[in-house]
Amino acid sequence: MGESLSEPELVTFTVTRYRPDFEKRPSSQTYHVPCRKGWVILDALKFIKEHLDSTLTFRSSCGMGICGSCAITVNGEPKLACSVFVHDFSHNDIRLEPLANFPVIKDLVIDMSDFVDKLKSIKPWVIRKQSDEIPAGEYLQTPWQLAGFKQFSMCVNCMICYAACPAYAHNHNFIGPAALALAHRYNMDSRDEGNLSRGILTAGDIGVWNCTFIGECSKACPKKVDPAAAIHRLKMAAAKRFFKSLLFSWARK
Amino acid sequence: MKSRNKQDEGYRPYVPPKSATWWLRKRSYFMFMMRELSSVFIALFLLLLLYKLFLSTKNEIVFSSFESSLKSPVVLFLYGVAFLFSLYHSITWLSAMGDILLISTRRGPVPSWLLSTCGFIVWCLASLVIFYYFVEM
Repeated sequence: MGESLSEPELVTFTVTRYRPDFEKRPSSQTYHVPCRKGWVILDALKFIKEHLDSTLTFRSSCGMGICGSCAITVNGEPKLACSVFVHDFSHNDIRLEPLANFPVIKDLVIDMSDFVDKLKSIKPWVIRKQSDEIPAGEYLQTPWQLAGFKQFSMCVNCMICYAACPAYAHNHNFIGPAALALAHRYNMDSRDEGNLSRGILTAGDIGVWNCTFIGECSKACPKKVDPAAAIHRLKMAAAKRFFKSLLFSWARK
Repeated sequence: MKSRNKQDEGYRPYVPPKSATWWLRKRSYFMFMMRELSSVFIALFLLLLLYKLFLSTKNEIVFSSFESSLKSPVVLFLYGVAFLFSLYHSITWLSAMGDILLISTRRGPVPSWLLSTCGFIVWCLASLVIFYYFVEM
């Protein structure tokens, strides 16, 4: 209680604004926000919206690092605005920008439709060659089998990994870290049989070979999903498939 | 991009320009570029080594004159840079190996730190064997 009622400290926020109705390129706007101890960046953004400038636009929803909506760039690093404290930044000027590598719709809001298309393309659901009848019951899985992919299922689709990835910045056709991590998650799922159908896309022109293992996606991921590891395991699987097919075709001759 | 918003009237997104100096923005990006650059020096070293092997099958005078030319300060500097780059490349590669390799046992997957540590041990042993072999020679 003492913390929430502590004296507010004035913090300067320099926020990137882009108002397509009357601006051709983004500009900056400064706000002085009386931040209380324990405030996260999202609290400051909400304060600006409610008390200082109602035209400021940003995305947010759950406010507790679950939905991934509030990802923005804070002092040059992609972060979830609801998960970083204002007092973690020692200097009194915090720079807020939209996520890098995405088209900006307005202020801090980016266009995520490219990511959503990519997410759908890797078929993020359990694929069965032949569906069993419902009376057969659920597909059983051991705790070990679950442990094999659980880490990769923790992604909240915040797109922070895309903002951190220079490979995606260079080539927007690249499927990218989060979608590939999800593809790996389903490939590793003992109930799934869609490995080959996903493999055509993930090992293709826009797939895993575009990744040069910079590793920034894994460093930036707020949920510790480690997309870089997922991508390189997909590379190993693709290489194995290739050499296997080569061996089989050679043996047939 | 199959964006439905693109069809909407008034949809005027700002597309940030690509920067040629993106790799200077962050230390980790810079270190990544150095890792990529390390391949050039390692390749140069290997080309020199291959050429030396090729000459060793030829005239002894040609070989010894080439070998003495390799002791010039420029070549020694190149060797030094290639050595430092190969160290950096190997360390980053072996550190990443633990995350990439997936070895499952009955008790679950082998931890990544253990795989990386094994990689480092094998690397050190192999280096010692090669070093001992060349010193003996």
